[in-house]
Amino acid sequence: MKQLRIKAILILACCLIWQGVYWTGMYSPLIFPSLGTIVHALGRDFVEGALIEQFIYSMRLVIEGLLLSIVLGLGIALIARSSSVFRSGIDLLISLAHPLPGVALLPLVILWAGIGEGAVLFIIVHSVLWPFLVSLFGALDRLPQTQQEVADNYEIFGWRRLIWVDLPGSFPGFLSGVKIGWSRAWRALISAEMIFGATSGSGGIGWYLFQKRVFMDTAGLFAGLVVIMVIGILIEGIFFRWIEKRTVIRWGMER
Amino acid sequence: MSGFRFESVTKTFGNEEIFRELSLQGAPASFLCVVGKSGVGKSTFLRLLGGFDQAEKGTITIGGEQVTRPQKKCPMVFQSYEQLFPWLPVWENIAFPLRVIGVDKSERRNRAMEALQAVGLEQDAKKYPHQLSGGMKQRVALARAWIAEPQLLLMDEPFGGLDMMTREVLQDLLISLWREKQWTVVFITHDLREAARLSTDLLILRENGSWEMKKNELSQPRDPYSAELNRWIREIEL
Ligand SMILES: Nc1ncnc2c1ncn2[C@@H]1O[C@H](COP(=O)(O)OP(=O)(O)OP(=O)(O)O)[C@@H](O)[C@H]1O
Ligand SMILES: [Mg+2]
Repeated sequence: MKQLRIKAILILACCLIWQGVYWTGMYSPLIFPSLGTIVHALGRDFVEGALIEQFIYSMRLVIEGLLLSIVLGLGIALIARSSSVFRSGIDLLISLAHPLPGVALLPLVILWAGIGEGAVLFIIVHSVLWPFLVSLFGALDRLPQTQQEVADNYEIFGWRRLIWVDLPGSFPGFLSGVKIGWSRAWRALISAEMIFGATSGSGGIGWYLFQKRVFMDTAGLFAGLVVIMVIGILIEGIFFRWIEKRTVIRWGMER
Repeated sequence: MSGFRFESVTKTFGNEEIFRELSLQGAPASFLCVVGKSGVGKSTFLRLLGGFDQAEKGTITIGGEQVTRPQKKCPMVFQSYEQLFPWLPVWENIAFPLRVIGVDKSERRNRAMEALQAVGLEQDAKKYPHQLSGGMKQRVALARAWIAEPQLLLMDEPFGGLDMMTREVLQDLLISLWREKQWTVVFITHDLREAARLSTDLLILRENGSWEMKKNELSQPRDPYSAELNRWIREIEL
């Protein structure tokens, strides 16, 4: 509660500084709009539905990409647990693909998959899967030995072992992988949207931002940025926190 | 109910010999206590029998079958406090072996509650392991090993972290369960009085890979403070 209050005060202070800079008239209102106009643009685009529509479109893609990556990652982890050859292959693939920014793949993806949603999903999965696997493998490799021996003792293997013992045992790593994946997915999506533009009527938050620059609607641009930040705070501070309270914190497993 | 057998088993770590040509036999429904100084190889002995570790030479059999890997008919209570699953509440930890063999949830819960009552933790069924003390965790691990009708029960200093009172209550419980269910038990302990009270056979492990087997023919029921039991303890050299 106290932390929340400190955060609120800090945010308020930032707003005041912003408005103060605006009042000095150092920058043209065209590129440095007042708080009032930003809030106004935010309200306007919300009411018109443009922002909400783009937001829903982007969220849907991120969630699809994230879920797809998690399912893929778990499947890979299951096979890698039983085959060391497969595991070394995946380790090699991770070391090759992990450092490659999703945007760098865009030209290739456009060549191969065109510019539809499939291409966007591909970029998201690429951005999420590798860091997710690094995190998941890291946790799976460090499972407490005695608990593994208990699982051996009761003869559970295969997918039951993964679901009942290995995944819950590596849940802190799994969760931090999903968190990293979430922020990587969100970033990858916005860059991809800016480049792809509107493919099916909606272009997402990225496309929204891009258009705001084209039309020199700076207040609208900031409104878009505010929405992105708010989503970030809601997901990190509320959604993931909620999951942690019900899992790793309840189990006494947080690191 | 399965007996077990070591046939000239040699185990080394690096160039340190833990046992040399260890041969012994545990009859079905016997109660073997293993004693010896710290670091002498008691846990190693139990881990070999449980299939958690392999010997360089010799064979180990349970019920006539060679041990190659851990089996659920021979559950182990480990020395470590980390043996419970932190994400499962206490009762589900205890019921875990039942879940593996497909017992349905309501029966799992009933049997876990019975087991919890036996080890005096019925108040703590819904807690998570990190909310328990070391001795409480150990009792949960005991209940988990007892619940699924073991053939051969392996216990590595299971009463190590407990006070005298709880310890004696659990010794009584273990003796009565062992009599009733006819388990074969291998039990490691630091406490000779405990070994004297529980065992039918005693294995003394010594440094440099040597060992000695001894029968325990003290009369039943055994008073842990009787002169007869004290005399028996005094004869043991670690
Ligand atoms: N995995 C291992 N690798 C190398 N050496 C080991 C390993 N496990 C045990 N040892 C060594 O084997 C010896 C016996 O260890 P063990 O754990 O069996 O002793 P213990 O009798 O159970 O001791 P304590 O009473 O302290 O539990 C020790 O010297 C130990 O250092
Ligand atoms: Mg030991």
